[in-house]
Amino acid sequence: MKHALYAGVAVAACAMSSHAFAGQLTAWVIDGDSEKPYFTQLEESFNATYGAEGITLDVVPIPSYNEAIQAATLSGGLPDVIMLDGPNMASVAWAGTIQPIGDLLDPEIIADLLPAIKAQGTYGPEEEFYFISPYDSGTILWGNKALLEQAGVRIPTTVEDAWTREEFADALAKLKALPGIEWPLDVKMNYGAGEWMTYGFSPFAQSNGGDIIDRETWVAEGTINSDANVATLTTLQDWNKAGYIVPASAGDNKFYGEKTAALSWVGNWMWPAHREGLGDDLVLIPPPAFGEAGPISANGGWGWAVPTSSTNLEDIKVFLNYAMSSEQVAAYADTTGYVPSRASAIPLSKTYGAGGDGEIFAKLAGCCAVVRPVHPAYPVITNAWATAVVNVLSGDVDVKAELDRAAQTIDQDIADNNGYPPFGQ
Amino acid sequence: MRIPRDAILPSLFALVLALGVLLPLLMMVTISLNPNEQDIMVSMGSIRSFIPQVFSLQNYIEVWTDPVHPFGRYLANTALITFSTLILSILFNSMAAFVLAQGTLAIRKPVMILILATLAVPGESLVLPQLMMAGWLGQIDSYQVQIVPGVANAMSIFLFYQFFSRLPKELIEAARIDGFSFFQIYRHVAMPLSKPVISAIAVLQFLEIWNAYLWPVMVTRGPEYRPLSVAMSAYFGTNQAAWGNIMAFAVSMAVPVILFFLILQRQFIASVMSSGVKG
Amino acid sequence: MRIRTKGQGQELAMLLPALIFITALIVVPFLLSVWFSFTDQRLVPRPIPTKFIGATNYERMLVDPLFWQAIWNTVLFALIVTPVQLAMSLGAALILNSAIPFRGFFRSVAILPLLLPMTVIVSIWAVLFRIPSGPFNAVYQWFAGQGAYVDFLGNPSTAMLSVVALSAWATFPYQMLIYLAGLQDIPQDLYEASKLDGAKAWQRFRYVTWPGLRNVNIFLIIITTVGALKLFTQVDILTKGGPNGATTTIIHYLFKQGYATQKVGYASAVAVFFFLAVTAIALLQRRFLKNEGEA
Repeated sequence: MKHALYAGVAVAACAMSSHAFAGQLTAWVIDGDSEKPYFTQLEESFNATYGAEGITLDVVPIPSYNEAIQAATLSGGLPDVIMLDGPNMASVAWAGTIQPIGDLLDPEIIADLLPAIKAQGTYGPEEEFYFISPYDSGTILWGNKALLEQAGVRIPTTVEDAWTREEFADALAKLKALPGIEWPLDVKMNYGAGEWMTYGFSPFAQSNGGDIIDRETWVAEGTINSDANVATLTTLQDWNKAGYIVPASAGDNKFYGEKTAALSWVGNWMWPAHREGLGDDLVLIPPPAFGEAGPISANGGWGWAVPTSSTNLEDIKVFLNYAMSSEQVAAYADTTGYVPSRASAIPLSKTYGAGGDGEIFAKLAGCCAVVRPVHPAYPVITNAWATAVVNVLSGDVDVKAELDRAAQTIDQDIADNNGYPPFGQ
Repeated sequence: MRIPRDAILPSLFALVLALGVLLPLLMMVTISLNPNEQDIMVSMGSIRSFIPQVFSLQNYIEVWTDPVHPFGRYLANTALITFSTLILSILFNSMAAFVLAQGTLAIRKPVMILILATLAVPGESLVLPQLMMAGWLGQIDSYQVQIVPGVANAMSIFLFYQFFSRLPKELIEAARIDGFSFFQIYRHVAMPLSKPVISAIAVLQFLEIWNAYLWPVMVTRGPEYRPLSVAMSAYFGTNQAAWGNIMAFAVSMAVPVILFFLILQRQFIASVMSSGVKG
Repeated sequence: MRIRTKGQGQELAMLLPALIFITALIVVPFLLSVWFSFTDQRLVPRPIPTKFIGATNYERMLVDPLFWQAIWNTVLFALIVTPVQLAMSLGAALILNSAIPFRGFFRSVAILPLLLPMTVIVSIWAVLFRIPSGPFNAVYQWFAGQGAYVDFLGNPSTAMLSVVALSAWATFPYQMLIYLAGLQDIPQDLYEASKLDGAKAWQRFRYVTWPGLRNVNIFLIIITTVGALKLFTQVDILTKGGPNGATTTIIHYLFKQGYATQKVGYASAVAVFFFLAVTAIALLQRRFLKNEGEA
């Protein structure tokens, strides 16, 4: 019955779908404005290099990427190569959706990766390599030099002389007192309770000696709700109550548009907007040291993975090594504004090489980046932490109780999955 | 032009109503005409986002010609999904409703109870099992997976049922005496009379499909089968939205429908208005 | 007799397609939900077996304060938005039913929100709600003085009202059109008669219009309430359920559990509960409104 009904539709659908041939690779990539030119370049230069050998590459940007991957996973329709967001790799690997790629990659490339990027791609107790990212990202404090000078605040330039928590608080108090400043610090509360809250706020916790889960025992209780984390989030909550932090509904542009905020804690993707809005007043300030561990920057991002269903491994090997060559990694960085993930590519990049505007990002990626936990429960971990952060920063709630609830949610999920074997065994 | 005295107050209210609707839309158009994304973000929320400073079609051209987001393809997908759903839904549901209202089958009563019960099942609560079923059946990323759920529509059966059960008995009886079979009575007597209820249901379902977001985004992988509503949300990137393009897309998406409804305004209003509320 | 059987065969053939669709797409998924709700089913297959876990999902659900908060928020939203939106719709319908100039134009303008995708409407409203000087706050400052502002979305006590305002704006034209139809169904001579009796505009509304809209009101109260209980898109984009869970609705909770963290078993328990609750409310309303009408 259904067949007859949809015969017409089905015929139309078949005519339009494409079939993969040997030697032809399809890679799904994220559909971002800043990445688009890079992927066009990647496809063209790869085909120019390997077309003669009979390997062609089709790079397909996919809008609403995460949902598309989910749908393709359920229907078994994944292409030869996909992109994943780094922290989600473990949950996808655990489910058996992607396969190890350590043997496909040139050992030289893996050895050359920034330490946190290598950690981001290494999964499980067997330390297998599943995922490789061409770039790294980072968070810093972006500052409005004119306002900071007006407030008489010291502007650190290197990781060594970063603000301490007290200095940071002092700077915020001075800035708050300036006329025309409503809330001095924008921490992108408008991004909502999503990945940003883990990416952007777990560095504060780690800088103060805390973390979001114990990375040896994989237990959240005692770590995510540790005294250190309670202290860190309480500080942020106090700042929010004191009116230092731009609220979610104030929108995105208080720092770079209206200039009623003097500092912004956000990743390097905001560089173009900041440059446009502030011009010469823009300064890049290293992350503040919340505690003993010193400044910590967020890190990680999207990268390449190979679905278990892919069999064309010889060609995929060629592609991965090409996409991860120093030149391609540097090109990715220069096109998108992200930091190259290979140490040898950093000098090749205009922005991040010595003397470049973004030198500090490259430094941070090398010295001060902590990878988000590589564990199959990550989607639950990040959700629980993000909810706690947003709640703490949206009112007068009990910090400890929020973190206790996060700990319980995470540990319950891990128990529900028998500890996600082979983890926890 | 002269306004009757007792129409002055309502006219003022009508103006307020129109302003209330149009002001937010003015912002949408203003942003869509501004080609400078950074400038949009800088001026967002200020008076500048309500009064166009520049008139550039650049965002529109970008949206229409973007190879990654084939606007024409999305439009065709939306049209195909919409029309298939409407045609199948109206056909099947009216047939079933006619049997329930005028037929003789013994199972009419239990079926009617089933329909009434499913009327209360919120579609949203079924999305997860439906998604898994679609996965098991290998139907993900297709047109049918977006059409079929809209065809199973208890509300539409119920509205047809209400209409058909009020048809005069004599009419049905007369047709039967003339030798019409049950199907022929449905086809040649009942359906021609139900134009208002058909268009009411069509409009209701149209709006439902037009706003469908959750289901299509979950069951499609890329531009091949995606409808406009999902395509547009792809411009809300990971951390930064491309506002100029989003608004240009939204305007492009809304204009054909607005025109369509303006042309058919009289019928449109008349049909929504008759969605089974009489009697 | 033969004809009768043939007729019944025909009837069956006409009934079956819709029946199959309803069964396959509503009844079966619903039964699956019931089954999943007693297991630890996940969305994407995982390397450990899915098992039957009894009523664990329900037990956890019933002790989760967030779940109860979501229920309360959903009920609150429905209780506020239904009268607000229906009042708006009726008001607009009365205006557009009166003898104003350019009536066709105003009617066309009034239905525009219905034709825009919700994602866009929400984005526009997010800008309108901006603090401290977004368009709404600019108006507020007119009354409350320079520097004063309301954090519409950031304050738990106003966040839900903001969602109500947005939702009413986005969907009121639908109810408005049904009211318009209802108004036109009221016989003109009733108005003429009451005019002759010297009834004022308000009295005409009270004694002619309002009773004349009885059935329309019953229909609209039910569909608006049921629609309100499904609130999701607006909240998901605008507030993500915050601040502090103040706008988490039951469907939003269900999706966070079932899709974002993939716990289909648990989400199914929520879905089953939701179904029972909506059915109960719809039945109660129906009984209550019908009885009142007959009394």
